[in-house]
Amino acid sequence: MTGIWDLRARLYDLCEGSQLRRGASKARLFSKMQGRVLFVAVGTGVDITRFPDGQRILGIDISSEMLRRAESRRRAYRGEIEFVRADVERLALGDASFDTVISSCTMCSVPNPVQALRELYRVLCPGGRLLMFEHVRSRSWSLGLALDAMTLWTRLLGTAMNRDTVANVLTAGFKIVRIESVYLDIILSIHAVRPLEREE
Amino acid sequence: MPAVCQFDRRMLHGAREHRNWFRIGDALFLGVVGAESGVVMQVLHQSEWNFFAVSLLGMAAAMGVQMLLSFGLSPLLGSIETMAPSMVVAMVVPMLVDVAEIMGWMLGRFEAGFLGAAFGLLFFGYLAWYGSVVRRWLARAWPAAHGVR
Repeated sequence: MTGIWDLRARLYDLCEGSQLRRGASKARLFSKMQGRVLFVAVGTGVDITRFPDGQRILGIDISSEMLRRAESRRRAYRGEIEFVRADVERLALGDASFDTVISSCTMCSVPNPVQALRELYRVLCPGGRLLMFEHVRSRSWSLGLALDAMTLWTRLLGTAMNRDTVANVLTAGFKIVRIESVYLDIILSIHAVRPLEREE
Repeated sequence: MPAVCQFDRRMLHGAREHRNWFRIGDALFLGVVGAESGVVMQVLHQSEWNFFAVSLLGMAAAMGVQMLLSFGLSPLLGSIETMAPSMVVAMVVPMLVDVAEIMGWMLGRFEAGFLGAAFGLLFFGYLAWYGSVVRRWLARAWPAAHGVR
């Protein structure tokens, strides 16, 4: 798994580096981050340019090559970001230690997304925000079929194009506040919260 | 008018203009992929090979070219935004050329390209409609939170 992402880091910016289309939606979603922030799957750090200034962020990624490539963007950020190499499915972080968790195109690539989301639920404090920019399987039969077909080969590279991330978020125990369409029902901006203890 | 409202109006206008440029890009791209897929299939049907072999090979070739075009345009139009819809176009257009062949309509290169481009633009129309359905559905699914920032 780590090896695939170290390899993909070399080509990642070529396809995903441009934020021409998605940048504004990401900036709108990330503007809601507050308090102690956990940024899951830093990648090459393309999203850092869309973060509001002055935040205190812990960024994690499974690939050390991705983190190495994100270093220049980390330095350019006007706030505090610390990078740690970690697996989102097994976080060595305390319970309820963050106020906001953000992820961007991550749940397509973790082997067990529900386990990853349960870990995020654990480290998020009650009432904390989960802000996700994710691509999912479309409900349209034609687009859904195309995404299933794409998954046949993207799976070899560690990515599934046809996951039901909204259902996974609910399964992990989060409450969805709002979902915005970024591109049809394929790319979604998801705002969820960990319910307060009394609501659980 | 308060300065804040003027700022919001400018932002809204900017976002709409931004979206419209991508719509034009998407429409042109799907038209080009459709035309390419039609022409690739038509060229292969000129050979004397087995019909089913040509159909499979033509679809694979059309999708191969479509993927290269998608990768090339992904920095401009987005990776998934180009790849997913154009894959549908690259799957369906070769089938349309096959159907024309079965019906005995011998399409020339221009006609096959035109048929493909027309399907690409038609599919873009479907996506525009589907996008508005999705936005309405999302707003209905979480009505209490609609408008929360």
